[in-house]
Amino acid sequence: MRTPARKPWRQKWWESRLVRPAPTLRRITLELAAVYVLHFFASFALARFSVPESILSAGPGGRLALLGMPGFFALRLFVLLFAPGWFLARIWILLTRKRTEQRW
Amino acid sequence: MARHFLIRRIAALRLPEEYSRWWVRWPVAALLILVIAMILPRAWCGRDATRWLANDKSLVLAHARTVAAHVESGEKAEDLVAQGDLFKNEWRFGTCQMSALGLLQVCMQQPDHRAEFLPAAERAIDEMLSERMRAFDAVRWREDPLATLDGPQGHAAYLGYLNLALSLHRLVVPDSRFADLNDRVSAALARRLQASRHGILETYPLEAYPVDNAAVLSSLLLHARNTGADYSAVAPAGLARFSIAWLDPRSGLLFQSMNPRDGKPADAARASATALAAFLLSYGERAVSGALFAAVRDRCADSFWGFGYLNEYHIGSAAPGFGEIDSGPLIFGISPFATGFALGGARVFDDRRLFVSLYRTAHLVGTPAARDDRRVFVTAGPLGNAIMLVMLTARSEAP
Repeated sequence: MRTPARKPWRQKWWESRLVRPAPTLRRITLELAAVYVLHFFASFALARFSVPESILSAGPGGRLALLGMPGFFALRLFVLLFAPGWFLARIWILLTRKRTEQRW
Repeated sequence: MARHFLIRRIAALRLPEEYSRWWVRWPVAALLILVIAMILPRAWCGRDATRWLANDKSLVLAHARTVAAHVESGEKAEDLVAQGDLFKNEWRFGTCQMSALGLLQVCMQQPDHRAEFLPAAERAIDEMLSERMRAFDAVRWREDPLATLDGPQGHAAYLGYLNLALSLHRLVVPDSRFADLNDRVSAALARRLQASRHGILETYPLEAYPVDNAAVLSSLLLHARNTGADYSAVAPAGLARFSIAWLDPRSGLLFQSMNPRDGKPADAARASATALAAFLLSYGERAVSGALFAAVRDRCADSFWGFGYLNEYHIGSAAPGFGEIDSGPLIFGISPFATGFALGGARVFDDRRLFVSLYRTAHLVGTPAARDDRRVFVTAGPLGNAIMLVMLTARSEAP
Protein backbone atom coordinates (compact mmCIF):
# COMPACT_ATOMS: atom_id res chain seq x y z
CA MET A 1 0.00 0.00 0.00
CA ARG A 2 1.40 3.41 -0.99
CA THR A 3 1.66 5.98 1.76
CA PRO A 4 -0.19 9.19 0.91
CA ALA A 5 2.10 11.99 -0.31
CA ARG A 6 2.85 14.61 2.36
CA LYS A 7 1.35 17.98 1.71
CA PRO A 8 3.79 20.85 1.18
CA TRP A 9 3.84 23.42 4.02
CA ARG A 10 2.34 26.14 1.84
CA GLN A 11 -0.69 24.02 1.13
CA LYS A 12 -1.06 23.17 4.83
CA TRP A 13 -0.81 26.85 5.76
CA TRP A 14 -3.39 27.85 3.15
CA GLU A 15 -5.82 25.15 4.27
CA SER A 16 -5.42 26.19 7.91
CA ARG A 17 -6.24 29.75 6.85
CA LEU A 18 -9.36 28.63 5.06
CA VAL A 19 -10.76 26.84 8.08
CA ARG A 20 -9.86 29.67 10.46
CA PRO A 21 -12.82 31.97 11.14
CA ALA A 22 -12.59 35.39 9.54
CA PRO A 23 -11.48 38.18 11.91
CA THR A 24 -14.33 40.21 13.26
CA LEU A 25 -14.59 43.96 13.05
CA ARG A 26 -13.93 44.13 16.78
CA ARG A 27 -10.74 42.07 16.45
CA ILE A 28 -9.44 44.19 13.59
CA THR A 29 -10.02 47.34 15.64
CA LEU A 30 -8.46 45.85 18.76
CA GLU A 31 -5.36 44.72 16.85
CA LEU A 32 -4.92 48.22 15.45
CA ALA A 33 -5.30 49.71 18.93
CA ALA A 34 -2.77 47.20 20.32
CA VAL A 35 -0.18 48.28 17.75
CA TYR A 36 -0.66 51.94 18.70
CA VAL A 37 -0.42 51.15 22.44
CA LEU A 38 2.77 49.13 21.84
CA HIS A 39 4.21 52.06 19.90
CA PHE A 40 3.36 54.46 22.72
CA PHE A 41 5.12 52.35 25.36
CA ALA A 42 8.10 51.67 23.09
CA SER A 43 8.68 55.39 22.53
CA PHE A 44 8.35 55.97 26.27
CA ALA A 45 11.01 53.32 26.92
CA LEU A 46 13.32 54.81 24.29
CA ALA A 47 13.11 58.23 25.90
CA ARG A 48 13.67 56.79 29.37
CA PHE A 49 16.81 54.85 28.42
CA SER A 50 18.23 57.40 25.89
CA VAL A 51 18.63 54.67 23.30
CA PRO A 52 18.88 56.93 20.23
CA GLU A 53 21.68 58.96 21.82
CA SER A 54 23.60 55.75 22.44
CA ILE A 55 23.34 55.00 18.76
CA LEU A 56 24.37 58.43 17.60
CA SER A 57 27.45 58.26 19.80
CA ALA A 58 28.68 55.39 17.59
CA GLY A 59 30.75 53.65 20.27
CA PRO A 60 30.60 50.04 21.50
CA GLY A 61 27.48 50.75 23.58
CA GLY A 62 25.99 52.41 20.51
CA ARG A 63 26.33 49.21 18.54
CA LEU A 64 24.50 47.36 21.30
CA ALA A 65 21.68 49.90 21.25
CA LEU A 66 21.66 49.70 17.47
CA LEU A 67 20.32 46.17 17.79
CA GLY A 68 17.21 47.43 19.59
CA MET A 69 16.45 50.41 17.36
CA PRO A 70 15.45 48.72 14.10
CA GLY A 71 12.56 47.11 15.96
CA PHE A 72 11.26 50.47 17.16
CA PHE A 73 11.67 52.18 13.83
CA ALA A 74 10.02 49.26 12.04
CA LEU A 75 7.11 49.61 14.45
CA ARG A 76 6.96 53.41 14.02
CA LEU A 77 7.18 53.15 10.24
CA PHE A 78 4.36 50.64 10.33
CA VAL A 79 2.25 52.75 12.69
CA LEU A 80 2.66 55.99 10.74
CA LEU A 81 2.98 54.73 7.19
CA PHE A 82 1.08 51.50 6.82
CA ALA A 83 -1.29 50.98 9.76
CA PRO A 84 -4.14 53.19 8.47
CA GLY A 85 -4.04 51.49 5.06
CA TRP A 86 -3.68 48.07 6.66
CA PHE A 87 -6.77 48.76 8.77
CA LEU A 88 -8.85 49.88 5.79
CA ALA A 89 -7.58 47.00 3.67
CA ARG A 90 -8.68 44.52 6.31
CA ILE A 91 -12.12 46.15 6.44
CA TRP A 92 -12.28 45.88 2.66
CA ILE A 93 -11.31 42.19 2.80
CA LEU A 94 -13.99 41.68 5.42
CA LEU A 95 -16.66 43.45 3.38
CA THR A 96 -15.88 41.44 0.26
CA ARG A 97 -15.96 37.99 1.85
CA LYS A 98 -18.41 35.46 0.50
CA ARG A 99 -21.61 35.67 2.54
CA THR A 100 -21.01 32.25 4.12
CA GLU A 101 -17.63 33.35 5.49
CA GLN A 102 -18.86 36.60 6.95
CA ARG A 103 -18.77 36.91 10.71
CA TRP A 104 -19.23 40.10 12.72
CA MET B 1 -28.28 49.30 22.40
CA ALA B 2 -26.91 51.86 20.00
CA ARG B 3 -23.76 49.75 19.65
CA HIS B 4 -25.68 46.66 18.65
CA PHE B 5 -27.68 48.72 16.18
CA LEU B 6 -24.45 50.01 14.60
CA ILE B 7 -22.99 46.50 14.33
CA ARG B 8 -26.18 45.26 12.69
CA ARG B 9 -26.06 48.13 10.22
CA ILE B 10 -22.42 47.37 9.33
CA ALA B 11 -23.21 43.66 9.02
CA ALA B 12 -26.05 44.51 6.68
CA LEU B 13 -23.62 46.23 4.30
CA ARG B 14 -23.46 44.10 1.20
CA LEU B 15 -21.02 44.71 -1.59
CA PRO B 16 -21.87 43.20 -4.97
CA GLU B 17 -20.72 39.62 -5.46
CA GLU B 18 -18.22 40.66 -8.20
CA TYR B 19 -16.01 42.33 -5.59
CA SER B 20 -15.46 39.00 -3.88
CA ARG B 21 -13.38 37.63 -6.74
CA TRP B 22 -9.81 37.11 -5.58
CA TRP B 23 -8.31 39.19 -8.41
CA VAL B 24 -10.41 42.16 -7.31
CA ARG B 25 -10.21 41.72 -3.53
CA TRP B 26 -6.48 41.36 -3.02
CA PRO B 27 -5.14 43.90 -5.56
CA VAL B 28 -7.58 46.50 -4.24
CA ALA B 29 -6.44 45.76 -0.66
CA ALA B 30 -2.78 46.18 -1.68
CA LEU B 31 -3.61 49.35 -3.57
CA LEU B 32 -5.43 50.75 -0.54
CA ILE B 33 -2.36 50.19 1.66
CA LEU B 34 -0.03 51.73 -0.93
CA VAL B 35 -2.13 54.78 -1.77
CA ILE B 36 -2.88 55.60 1.86
CA ALA B 37 0.81 55.15 2.75
CA MET B 38 1.71 57.64 0.02
CA ILE B 39 -0.85 60.28 0.99
CA LEU B 40 -1.81 60.16 4.65
CA PRO B 41 1.61 59.97 6.43
CA ARG B 42 3.12 62.89 4.52
CA ALA B 43 0.12 65.04 5.42
CA TRP B 44 0.15 63.87 9.04
CA CYS B 45 3.92 64.23 9.58
CA GLY B 46 4.14 67.57 7.79
CA ARG B 47 1.21 69.26 9.49
CA ASP B 48 3.45 71.17 11.94
CA ALA B 49 6.02 72.21 9.33
CA THR B 50 4.09 75.21 8.08
CA ARG B 51 3.40 76.24 11.68
CA TRP B 52 7.14 76.23 12.41
CA LEU B 53 7.74 78.27 9.25
CA ALA B 54 5.14 80.77 10.43
CA ASN B 55 6.83 80.98 13.88
CA ASP B 56 3.74 79.56 15.55
CA LYS B 57 3.94 80.86 19.10
CA SER B 58 2.52 77.80 20.85
CA LEU B 59 4.94 75.42 19.11
CA VAL B 60 8.02 77.59 19.61
CA LEU B 61 7.32 78.34 23.27
CA ALA B 62 6.47 74.72 24.12
CA HIS B 63 9.70 73.41 22.63
CA ALA B 64 11.76 76.26 24.12
CA ARG B 65 10.34 75.44 27.56
CA THR B 66 11.61 71.87 27.25
CA VAL B 67 15.11 73.06 26.37
CA ALA B 68 15.08 75.76 29.06
CA ALA B 69 13.94 73.25 31.68
CA HIS B 70 16.82 70.98 30.79
CA VAL B 71 19.30 73.84 31.08
CA GLU B 72 17.85 74.94 34.41
CA SER B 73 17.96 71.42 35.79
CA GLY B 74 21.70 71.24 35.03
CA GLU B 75 23.30 68.66 32.76
CA LYS B 76 23.92 65.38 34.49
CA ALA B 77 26.63 63.07 33.20
CA GLU B 78 24.18 60.21 32.87
CA ASP B 79 21.91 62.31 30.63
CA LEU B 80 24.40 61.93 27.83
CA VAL B 81 25.48 58.52 26.78
CA ALA B 82 28.21 59.33 24.24
CA GLN B 83 31.03 56.82 24.41
CA GLY B 84 34.28 58.02 25.92
CA ASP B 85 35.04 61.11 27.96
CA LEU B 86 36.00 63.28 24.99
CA PHE B 87 32.74 62.74 23.12
CA LYS B 88 30.67 62.87 26.31
CA ASN B 89 32.13 66.26 27.25
CA GLU B 90 31.91 67.52 23.68
CA TRP B 91 28.22 66.62 23.70
CA ARG B 92 27.67 68.38 27.02
CA PHE B 93 29.32 71.46 25.57
CA GLY B 94 27.30 71.09 22.36
CA THR B 95 24.05 70.77 24.31
CA CYS B 96 24.74 74.01 26.20
CA GLN B 97 25.86 75.82 23.05
CA MET B 98 22.83 74.77 21.01
CA SER B 99 20.52 75.52 23.95
CA ALA B 100 21.98 79.03 24.24
CA LEU B 101 21.64 79.70 20.50
CA GLY B 102 18.11 78.32 20.39
CA LEU B 103 16.86 80.21 23.41
CA LEU B 104 18.46 83.46 22.20
CA GLN B 105 16.74 83.00 18.84
CA VAL B 106 13.44 82.52 20.67
CA CYS B 107 14.13 85.74 22.63
CA MET B 108 14.50 87.60 19.33
CA GLN B 109 11.53 85.91 17.70
CA GLN B 110 9.18 86.22 20.68
CA PRO B 111 10.22 89.43 22.49
CA ASP B 112 7.24 89.13 24.89
CA HIS B 113 8.81 85.99 26.36
CA ARG B 114 12.34 87.28 26.61
CA ALA B 115 12.16 87.41 30.40
CA GLU B 116 11.21 83.73 30.45
CA PHE B 117 14.03 82.41 28.26
CA LEU B 118 16.94 84.85 28.61
CA PRO B 119 17.96 83.59 32.08
CA ALA B 120 18.11 80.01 30.79
CA ALA B 121 20.19 81.12 27.79
CA GLU B 122 22.60 82.92 30.14
CA ARG B 123 22.73 79.88 32.39
CA ALA B 124 23.74 77.78 29.37
CA ILE B 125 26.51 80.27 28.53
CA ASP B 126 27.69 80.26 32.15
CA GLU B 127 27.82 76.49 31.97
CA MET B 128 29.91 76.66 28.78
CA LEU B 129 32.35 78.91 30.63
CA SER B 130 32.62 76.59 33.63
CA GLU B 131 35.85 74.77 34.33
CA ARG B 132 34.28 71.33 33.93
CA MET B 133 33.00 72.26 30.48
CA ARG B 134 36.38 73.64 29.39
CA ALA B 135 38.04 70.42 30.46
CA PHE B 136 37.40 68.48 27.22
CA ASP B 137 39.39 71.06 25.29
CA ALA B 138 41.99 71.68 28.00
CA VAL B 139 42.85 67.97 28.28
CA ARG B 140 43.64 67.68 24.57
CA TRP B 141 45.60 70.94 24.38
CA ARG B 142 47.15 70.66 27.84
CA GLU B 143 46.21 74.28 28.43
CA ASP B 144 43.04 76.10 29.42
CA PRO B 145 41.39 77.77 26.38
CA LEU B 146 40.30 80.89 28.28
CA ALA B 147 43.45 81.31 30.38
CA THR B 148 45.64 81.27 27.27
CA LEU B 149 43.86 83.73 25.00
CA ASP B 150 47.20 85.45 24.40
CA GLY B 151 48.75 82.18 23.25
CA PRO B 152 49.07 80.82 19.70
CA GLN B 153 47.04 77.58 19.88
CA GLY B 154 43.80 77.25 17.90
CA HIS B 155 41.10 75.90 20.27
CA ALA B 156 38.78 76.39 17.27
CA ALA B 157 35.87 74.30 18.53
CA TYR B 158 35.63 75.55 22.08
CA LEU B 159 36.36 79.20 21.36
CA GLY B 160 34.50 79.31 18.03
CA TYR B 161 31.22 77.89 19.30
CA LEU B 162 31.49 79.79 22.59
CA ASN B 163 32.14 83.08 20.81
CA LEU B 164 29.19 82.54 18.49
CA ALA B 165 26.90 82.24 21.51
CA LEU B 166 28.54 85.29 23.11
CA SER B 167 28.14 87.37 19.93
CA LEU B 168 24.50 86.34 19.56
CA HIS B 169 23.87 87.18 23.22
CA ARG B 170 25.32 90.62 22.60
CA LEU B 171 22.95 91.08 19.68
CA VAL B 172 20.01 90.32 21.99
CA VAL B 173 21.43 92.23 24.99
CA PRO B 174 23.60 95.12 23.77
CA ASP B 175 25.00 95.73 27.28
CA SER B 176 25.77 92.02 27.68
CA ARG B 177 27.64 90.97 30.80
CA PHE B 178 29.74 88.76 28.49
CA ALA B 179 30.81 91.74 26.32
CA ASP B 180 34.36 91.94 27.66
CA LEU B 181 34.95 88.22 27.18
CA ASN B 182 33.37 88.42 23.71
CA ASP B 183 35.86 91.18 22.76
CA ARG B 184 38.85 89.28 24.10
CA VAL B 185 37.92 85.96 22.48
CA SER B 186 37.18 87.68 19.16
CA ALA B 187 40.53 89.47 19.22
CA ALA B 188 42.34 86.22 20.01
CA LEU B 189 40.60 84.31 17.21
CA ALA B 190 41.23 87.06 14.65
CA ARG B 191 44.91 87.26 15.62
CA ARG B 192 45.32 83.48 15.40
CA LEU B 193 43.56 83.31 12.03
CA GLN B 194 45.88 85.98 10.68
CA ALA B 195 48.94 84.15 11.98
CA SER B 196 47.78 80.77 10.68
CA ARG B 197 49.83 79.52 7.75
CA HIS B 198 46.89 77.94 5.93
CA GLY B 199 44.17 80.12 7.38
CA ILE B 200 42.66 77.33 9.45
CA LEU B 201 42.59 77.06 13.24
CA GLU B 202 43.12 73.68 14.82
CA THR B 203 40.34 72.16 16.91
CA TYR B 204 42.77 69.85 18.68
CA PRO B 205 46.52 69.50 18.06
CA LEU B 206 47.01 68.54 14.40
CA GLU B 207 43.24 68.28 13.81
CA ALA B 208 41.50 71.01 11.84
CA TYR B 209 37.88 71.08 10.69
CA PRO B 210 36.39 73.68 8.32
CA VAL B 211 33.03 73.44 10.12
CA ASP B 212 34.59 74.60 13.42
CA ASN B 213 36.25 77.43 11.55
CA ALA B 214 32.82 78.37 10.20
CA ALA B 215 31.77 78.97 13.81
CA VAL B 216 34.94 81.05 14.37
CA LEU B 217 34.38 83.19 11.28
CA SER B 218 30.68 83.61 11.86
CA SER B 219 31.26 84.72 15.46
CA LEU B 220 33.72 87.34 14.21
CA LEU B 221 31.29 88.65 11.58
CA LEU B 222 28.53 88.88 14.18
CA HIS B 223 30.92 90.58 16.61
CA ALA B 224 31.84 93.08 13.90
CA ARG B 225 28.16 93.80 13.35
CA ASN B 226 27.59 94.35 17.06
CA THR B 227 30.66 96.48 17.76
CA GLY B 228 31.91 97.80 14.43
CA ALA B 229 35.20 95.92 14.86
CA ASP B 230 37.30 95.66 11.72
CA TYR B 231 38.09 92.10 10.55
CA SER B 232 38.90 93.00 6.96
CA ALA B 233 42.31 91.35 7.38
CA VAL B 234 40.84 87.92 8.04
CA ALA B 235 37.13 87.74 7.08
CA PRO B 236 37.31 88.02 3.25
CA ALA B 237 40.20 85.53 3.08
CA GLY B 238 38.37 83.18 5.42
CA LEU B 239 35.19 83.31 3.35
CA ALA B 240 37.21 82.72 0.19
CA ARG B 241 38.56 79.49 1.69
CA PHE B 242 35.00 78.26 2.18
CA SER B 243 34.39 78.98 -1.51
CA ILE B 244 37.60 77.56 -2.97
CA ALA B 245 40.31 75.92 -0.86
CA TRP B 246 38.13 73.83 1.46
CA LEU B 247 35.59 72.97 -1.19
CA ASP B 248 35.58 69.77 -3.23
CA PRO B 249 35.28 71.01 -6.84
CA ARG B 250 33.49 67.82 -7.92
CA SER B 251 30.65 67.92 -5.41
CA GLY B 252 30.72 71.52 -4.13
CA LEU B 253 30.75 70.16 -0.56
CA LEU B 254 33.18 71.08 2.19
CA PHE B 255 35.96 68.69 3.11
CA GLN B 256 35.27 67.22 6.52
CA SER B 257 38.80 67.89 7.83
CA MET B 258 42.01 69.48 6.63
CA ASN B 259 45.62 68.78 7.44
CA PRO B 260 46.74 71.92 9.31
CA ARG B 261 50.39 71.33 8.35
CA ASP B 262 49.99 71.42 4.56
CA GLY B 263 46.44 72.78 4.20
CA LYS B 264 45.34 69.76 2.16
CA PRO B 265 42.14 67.71 2.64
CA ALA B 266 42.40 64.99 5.26
CA ASP B 267 38.91 63.53 4.76
CA ALA B 268 36.23 63.35 2.07
CA ALA B 269 33.77 66.13 1.27
CA ARG B 270 30.60 65.41 3.22
CA ALA B 271 27.12 66.73 3.80
CA SER B 272 27.16 66.84 7.62
CA ALA B 273 30.04 69.36 7.69
CA THR B 274 28.68 71.37 4.77
CA ALA B 275 25.13 71.62 6.12
CA LEU B 276 26.31 72.74 9.56
CA ALA B 277 28.88 75.16 8.15
CA ALA B 278 26.24 76.70 5.87
CA PHE B 279 23.95 77.18 8.85
CA LEU B 280 26.67 78.58 11.16
CA LEU B 281 27.99 81.00 8.54
CA SER B 282 24.47 82.28 7.91
CA TYR B 283 24.65 84.13 11.25
CA GLY B 284 27.33 86.36 9.74
CA GLU B 285 26.75 86.49 6.00
CA ARG B 286 24.49 85.06 3.30
CA ALA B 287 26.48 84.72 0.07
CA VAL B 288 28.95 81.95 0.91
CA SER B 289 26.59 80.20 3.31
CA GLY B 290 23.88 80.31 0.64
CA ALA B 291 26.23 78.70 -1.89
CA LEU B 292 27.13 75.94 0.58
CA PHE B 293 23.47 75.33 1.33
CA ALA B 294 22.65 75.20 -2.38
CA ALA B 295 25.43 72.64 -2.91
CA VAL B 296 24.21 70.41 -0.12
CA ARG B 297 20.60 70.70 -1.33
CA ASP B 298 21.41 70.05 -4.99
CA ARG B 299 23.94 67.25 -4.49
CA CYS B 300 22.80 65.42 -1.37
CA ALA B 301 19.09 66.03 -0.76
CA ASP B 302 16.55 63.47 -1.84
CA SER B 303 13.11 62.34 -0.76
CA PHE B 304 10.88 59.29 -0.69
CA TRP B 305 7.09 59.62 -0.60
CA GLY B 306 7.55 63.23 0.50
CA PHE B 307 10.00 62.43 3.34
CA GLY B 308 13.21 64.37 2.74
CA TYR B 309 16.71 63.39 3.77
CA LEU B 310 20.34 64.18 3.07
CA ASN B 311 22.90 61.66 1.90
CA GLU B 312 26.23 62.02 3.69
CA TYR B 313 28.10 61.78 0.39
CA HIS B 314 26.93 63.39 -2.83
CA ILE B 315 24.51 61.37 -4.93
CA GLY B 316 26.39 59.00 -7.21
CA SER B 317 29.47 58.69 -5.00
CA ALA B 318 30.99 55.41 -3.81
CA ALA B 319 29.66 53.25 -0.95
CA PRO B 320 29.05 55.48 2.09
CA GLY B 321 30.09 53.18 4.95
CA PHE B 322 28.46 53.16 8.36
CA GLY B 323 29.10 56.69 9.61
CA GLU B 324 30.81 58.10 12.68
CA ILE B 325 30.41 60.78 15.37
CA ASP B 326 29.98 63.69 12.91
CA SER B 327 27.38 62.12 10.67
CA GLY B 328 25.63 59.70 13.03
CA PRO B 329 24.99 56.16 11.85
CA LEU B 330 24.39 56.00 8.10
CA ILE B 331 21.45 53.92 6.90
CA PHE B 332 21.57 53.50 3.12
CA GLY B 333 23.97 56.48 3.21
CA ILE B 334 21.45 58.82 4.86
CA SER B 335 22.99 61.17 7.44
CA PRO B 336 20.80 62.00 10.48
CA PHE B 337 22.92 65.01 11.49
CA ALA B 338 23.13 66.47 7.98
CA THR B 339 19.36 66.07 7.62
CA GLY B 340 18.80 67.91 10.92
CA PHE B 341 21.24 70.73 10.12
CA ALA B 342 19.73 71.22 6.65
CA LEU B 343 16.41 72.07 8.33
CA GLY B 344 18.04 75.27 9.65
CA GLY B 345 19.50 76.10 6.24
CA ALA B 346 16.18 75.53 4.53
CA ARG B 347 14.53 77.96 6.97
CA VAL B 348 17.21 80.62 6.68
CA PHE B 349 17.29 80.48 2.88
CA ASP B 350 13.52 80.19 2.61
CA ASP B 351 13.40 76.85 0.83
CA ARG B 352 9.93 75.93 2.06
CA ARG B 353 9.61 72.78 0.02
CA LEU B 354 12.84 71.28 1.39
CA PHE B 355 11.98 72.40 4.92
CA VAL B 356 8.58 70.70 4.84
CA SER B 357 9.97 67.47 3.42
CA LEU B 358 12.83 67.38 5.97
CA TYR B 359 10.42 68.20 8.78
CA ARG B 360 8.27 65.21 7.84
CA THR B 361 11.31 62.99 8.35
CA ALA B 362 12.13 64.72 11.64
CA HIS B 363 8.57 64.05 12.79
CA LEU B 364 8.71 60.42 11.66
CA VAL B 365 12.04 59.70 13.36
CA GLY B 366 11.95 62.18 16.24
CA THR B 367 8.55 61.16 17.63
CA PRO B 368 7.33 64.56 18.88
CA ALA B 369 5.06 64.54 21.93
CA ALA B 370 3.32 67.33 23.82
CA ARG B 371 2.57 67.36 27.52
CA ASP B 372 1.23 70.26 29.57
CA ASP B 373 2.88 73.37 28.13
CA ARG B 374 5.93 71.53 26.78
CA ARG B 375 6.82 69.74 23.61
CA VAL B 376 9.66 67.31 23.07
CA PHE B 377 11.13 65.07 20.38
CA VAL B 378 11.05 61.86 22.36
CA THR B 379 13.89 60.07 20.62
CA ALA B 380 16.20 63.08 20.34
CA GLY B 381 17.58 63.44 23.88
CA PRO B 382 18.84 66.76 25.34
CA LEU B 383 21.33 67.46 22.54
CA GLY B 384 18.88 66.53 19.79
CA ASN B 385 16.13 68.70 21.26
CA ALA B 386 18.49 71.66 21.60
CA ILE B 387 19.61 71.24 17.96
CA MET B 388 16.00 71.00 16.82
CA LEU B 389 15.12 74.24 18.63
CA VAL B 390 17.99 76.03 16.86
CA MET B 391 17.10 74.65 13.44
CA LEU B 392 13.35 75.13 13.74
CA THR B 393 13.71 78.76 14.85
CA ALA B 394 16.71 79.57 12.64
CA ARG B 395 17.01 83.05 11.21
CA SER B 396 19.84 84.83 9.51
CA GLU B 397 21.30 87.77 11.38
CA ALA B 398 23.25 88.87 8.33
CA PRO B 399 22.08 92.10 6.70
